[in-house]
Amino acid sequence: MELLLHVAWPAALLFPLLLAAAMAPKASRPAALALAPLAPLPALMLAIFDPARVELSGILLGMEFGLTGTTRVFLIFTAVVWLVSAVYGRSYMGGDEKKHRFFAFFLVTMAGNLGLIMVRDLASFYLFFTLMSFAAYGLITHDDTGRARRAARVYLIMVVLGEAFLLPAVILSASVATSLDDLAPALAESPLRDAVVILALVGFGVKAGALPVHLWLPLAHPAAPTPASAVLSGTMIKAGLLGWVLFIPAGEAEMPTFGTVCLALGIVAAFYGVFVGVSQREPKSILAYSSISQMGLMTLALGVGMVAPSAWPAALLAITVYATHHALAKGALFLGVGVADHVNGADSRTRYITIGGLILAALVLAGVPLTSGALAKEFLKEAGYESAAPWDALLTPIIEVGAIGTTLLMLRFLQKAWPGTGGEARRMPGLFIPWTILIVGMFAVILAFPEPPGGMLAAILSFSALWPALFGIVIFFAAMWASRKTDRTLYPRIPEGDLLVPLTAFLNRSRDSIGAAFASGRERYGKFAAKRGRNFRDISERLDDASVLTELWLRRWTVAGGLVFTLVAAMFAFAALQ
Amino acid sequence: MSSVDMYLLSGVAVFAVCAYALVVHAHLIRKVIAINMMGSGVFVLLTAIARRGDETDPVPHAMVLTGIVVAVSATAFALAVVRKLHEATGHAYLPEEGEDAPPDGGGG
Amino acid sequence: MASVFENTNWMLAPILVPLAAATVAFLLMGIRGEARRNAQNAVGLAAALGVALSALALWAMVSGGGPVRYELGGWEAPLGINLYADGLSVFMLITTAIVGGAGSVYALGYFSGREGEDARRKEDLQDETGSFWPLWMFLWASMNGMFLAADAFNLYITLEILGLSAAALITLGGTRMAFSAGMRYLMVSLLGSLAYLLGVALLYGSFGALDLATLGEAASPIPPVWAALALISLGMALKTGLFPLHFWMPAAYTSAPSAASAILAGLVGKASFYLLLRVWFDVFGGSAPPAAGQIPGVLGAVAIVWGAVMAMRQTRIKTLLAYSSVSQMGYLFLLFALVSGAAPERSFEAWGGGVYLVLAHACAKAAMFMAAGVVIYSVGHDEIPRLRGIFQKLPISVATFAVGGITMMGLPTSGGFTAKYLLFTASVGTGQWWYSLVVLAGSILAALYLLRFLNPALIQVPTAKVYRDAPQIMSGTAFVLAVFSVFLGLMSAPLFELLSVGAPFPSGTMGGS
Repeated sequence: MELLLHVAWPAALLFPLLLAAAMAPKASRPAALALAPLAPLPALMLAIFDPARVELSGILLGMEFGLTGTTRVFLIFTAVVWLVSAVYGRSYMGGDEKKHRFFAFFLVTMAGNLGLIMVRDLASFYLFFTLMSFAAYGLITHDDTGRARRAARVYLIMVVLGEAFLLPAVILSASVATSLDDLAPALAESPLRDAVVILALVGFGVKAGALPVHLWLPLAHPAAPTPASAVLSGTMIKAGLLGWVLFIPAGEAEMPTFGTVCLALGIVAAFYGVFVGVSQREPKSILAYSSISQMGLMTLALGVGMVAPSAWPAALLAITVYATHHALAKGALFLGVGVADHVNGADSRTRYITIGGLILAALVLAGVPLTSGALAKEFLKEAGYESAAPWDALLTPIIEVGAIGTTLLMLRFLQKAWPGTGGEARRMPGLFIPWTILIVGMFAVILAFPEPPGGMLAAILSFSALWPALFGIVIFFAAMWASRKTDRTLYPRIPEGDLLVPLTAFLNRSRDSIGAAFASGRERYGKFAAKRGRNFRDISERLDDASVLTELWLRRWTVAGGLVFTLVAAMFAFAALQ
Repeated sequence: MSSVDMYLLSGVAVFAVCAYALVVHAHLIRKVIAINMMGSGVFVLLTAIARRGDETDPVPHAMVLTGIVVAVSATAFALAVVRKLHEATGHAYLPEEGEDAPPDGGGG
Repeated sequence: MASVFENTNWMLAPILVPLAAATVAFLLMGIRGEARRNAQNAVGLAAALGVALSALALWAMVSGGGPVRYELGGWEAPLGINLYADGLSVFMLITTAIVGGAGSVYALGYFSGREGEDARRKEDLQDETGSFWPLWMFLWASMNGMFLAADAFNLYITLEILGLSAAALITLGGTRMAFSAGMRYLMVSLLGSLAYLLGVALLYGSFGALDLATLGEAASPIPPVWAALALISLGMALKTGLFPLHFWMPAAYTSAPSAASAILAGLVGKASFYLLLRVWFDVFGGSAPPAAGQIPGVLGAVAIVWGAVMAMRQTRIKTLLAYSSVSQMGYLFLLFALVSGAAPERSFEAWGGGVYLVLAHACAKAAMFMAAGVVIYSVGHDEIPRLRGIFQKLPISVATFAVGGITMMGLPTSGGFTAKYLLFTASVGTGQWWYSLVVLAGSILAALYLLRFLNPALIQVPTAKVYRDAPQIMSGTAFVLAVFSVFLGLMSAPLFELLSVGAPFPSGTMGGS
């Protein structure tokens, strides 16, 4: 049994990795592609059976596998969304010539995402997180259009930026504790705490799509092929969230400043996502901005735990429930976009079923009564009540107004994703079946949720879940009516990637002006040098020459001998001074 | 100062002087001789160490004998390389600057 | 025969096997042509196998029963020769067994160029005299002898044989450049070992002992010990190529035949580093003042940056790799500063991290030099600007470069990651965080200089003409060795367990214990 466990844990990760490797030789490709949808199954089994922990001291710096209550839930929804997307992807990518390449990246990213949840030691966590981050580049750039390439480039820049914060965060944490289990209490006591918190907030924030490092998200999530969008938005941003939960000692120490920053950024993100998302024209972009908004709500719970350690258990529960709900619902929405695309122009029955599915998924995300969304919001509010003043009173209205925003976004989404009667329908049972399963799962998950303090029925039937949705619907149709009446666009059009546009413009401008400054400096130096009768030389060229000259100088026997003598003397002196 | 101390010091002095010679003389034969004599300096030092006690210590003698064997082989090999270098370049100096694969990588 | 591993005669095998092979291979030089080559190849491979087996046997022996001592011919120290093996010794033996074994297999292909073919261009690929094998086997015997030597004087003997055979391997190229680079290395090497010998003489004069363990117990902080510490450290820094004493390295590694470059860059520098490690902690462990470690530490930090910056400027693969070695050697010397830092419980981390990098870097750098050798063999040169798009013709060799680069950059799962991670945490843990910045900077710089070659190599443009195909055994060996270095991070526990046997520091929570 012991041995079986030692094999089972790593095997769950090796399986997708080996399948990815099997995509390389032409001969093994068909078999690997056929098996690819099964790749997340072993991890899902592990999550369901929750086997004993295993330490593989022989790997890396001692790899430890195991699950806690929180990571078990994360592993379940992550594996489910990957599984559904993989099955969906087999059909969706069916006609793609480079589908083996897509699946190779897909499987490696999957192994990273599952692995980071399954391990309990810092080094492995970092390894899998990084593996996931870099492999996802291959998913985003897959379509090889100008848009995909730009999105992938921005993504890569942001990933590298994130790594620059992550690696120090992990290494500083490793000097305090090597296991994720002891990390939070040890960090809370450590003088390194604030440094780690700042580094982790930014480093994981990139992945979680937190403001203002969300820039890559609205570009990348829509640019990737649909099954990849589903996992990017459904599970991979939750990896950033999990990183926060693991590395920030919320609940162990009071961190009012950082907590307030989190709360403030969360509120801004919740509304900013709606504000920009509503102006988008593409269904996948709208969903991407909705993810930013929803992650903002989850950031609120983190902030609650940071300002009031006593509220952390409730906040952690809220994060776990909300993440599960959002992963399934967002996955279903993204996959629905692909389905809707395929049923354009199909017979009305197929179209109505599809529309029905889209509406259901949208309602769940908007959190109307009887859905997991209503329940998840209830937990979020519950965490808010336990928070410190003034947040205990502020959070509930903010969450409810946020729900109005989400309703607006979902209506806008439905409007844009609505399958029309034109176009050529393609029958795709391979898309429909996994999507349907995910929609069913989205509702079934309510049964697995814990009972909120106010009671399950009260929570999912509450009026507070209904009125924001109704209010949102009224606003939306009023706005539609108004814009038709005045025949004008009432809303600004914000380009995908929002802040990125002015940012790139600014960077380009500053690069130009710095370049100009250099050029004029060079010119001036040239004049100066010419006046002095010297040849003009580029500064970098001179530095190059200096390094070569130094090397040649070091090679002289007199110099080398002198250095040896000096260093022997210095070493002797150091020893003697002691 | 006893005669043993004299030998000790002169051994170190020979080492130091020859290390200086190794550095300042460019001609390779001179360098080879300098290295050879640095070794001799250490051997003198070891022989002197052997004589310090009441009885002569055999261990340094064994070291010196072995050391001489090493020095002879090293010198022979060094001289062979100097000859080869002389055949190839017509002189017996090491290129101080730029001839053997300069650090900018342009070397042939 | 259950006690076969307890028989200490095993300790002689790693020295005697290559020594015997060297003698046989030397005698075989009398034969001409194909027969000589085949016979030498067989002898060389048999020796590689023998070393690997005996290294494994020693591993079993040492991890079972702790450090072992062996008196040659039953003669006791000081006049007799003693051998001593602890975890570090066996670790180094395993390093030579892996890298040396791969080097031997590579050499089979590398020196197989047919006589008279148009091969004499950049390098002499044929070794008409058959002198590679005897020299390499002597070199191997001397390295293994050094790792097993129990006393300071035998360390000197092995150091000298090592220096002589390495210098001879450099001149094997037969070009003017090779002779001058070999000559320079010979001088440097002799200067280094004489400095070491003077240090040993001072120690013997002070304590009347040569045995490292005895010296370690006797050593006290007196001026001759300080002088010996300074002389030995600088002598070994010179032979290892620590900045600013690395001046001999680029030319030596570049002008040697690539099969020899791989061995030189992979192993030879590490041997003198081992010697310093041994003497520093075993002999001066108790008496070396902590501040003295800052000198190699600071020089190492400068080396990391300087080597990487210079590597970025290179236009040839082999000089790029040589300067990359300057940078990577710098990491090794950080451990002296980190071990003597404020937190003794971090010492094993720093020491183990440095030692682990020896193995990781040896594999990766040897593999990359081998890949460079394949490029030269196939295209006739290794000038980066003329190798644009070479990936299309030599995909495995370019991949070797990229995979080996993972270790150079210290990315996860590679041995370089484990090593640099430990050095990093040790520098944070001992409160010397500035070293951690250098470790990070070195990784980023490594990525930059590796791209100097990878970037042009990977673009899709019409590329250089491959005028002859290298034997697949060359590119294959290089690639396997590079891949091995990437998986080293995944198998660190048994190796750290081995290292903890007889280590100068308690291993604490490290090493799977």
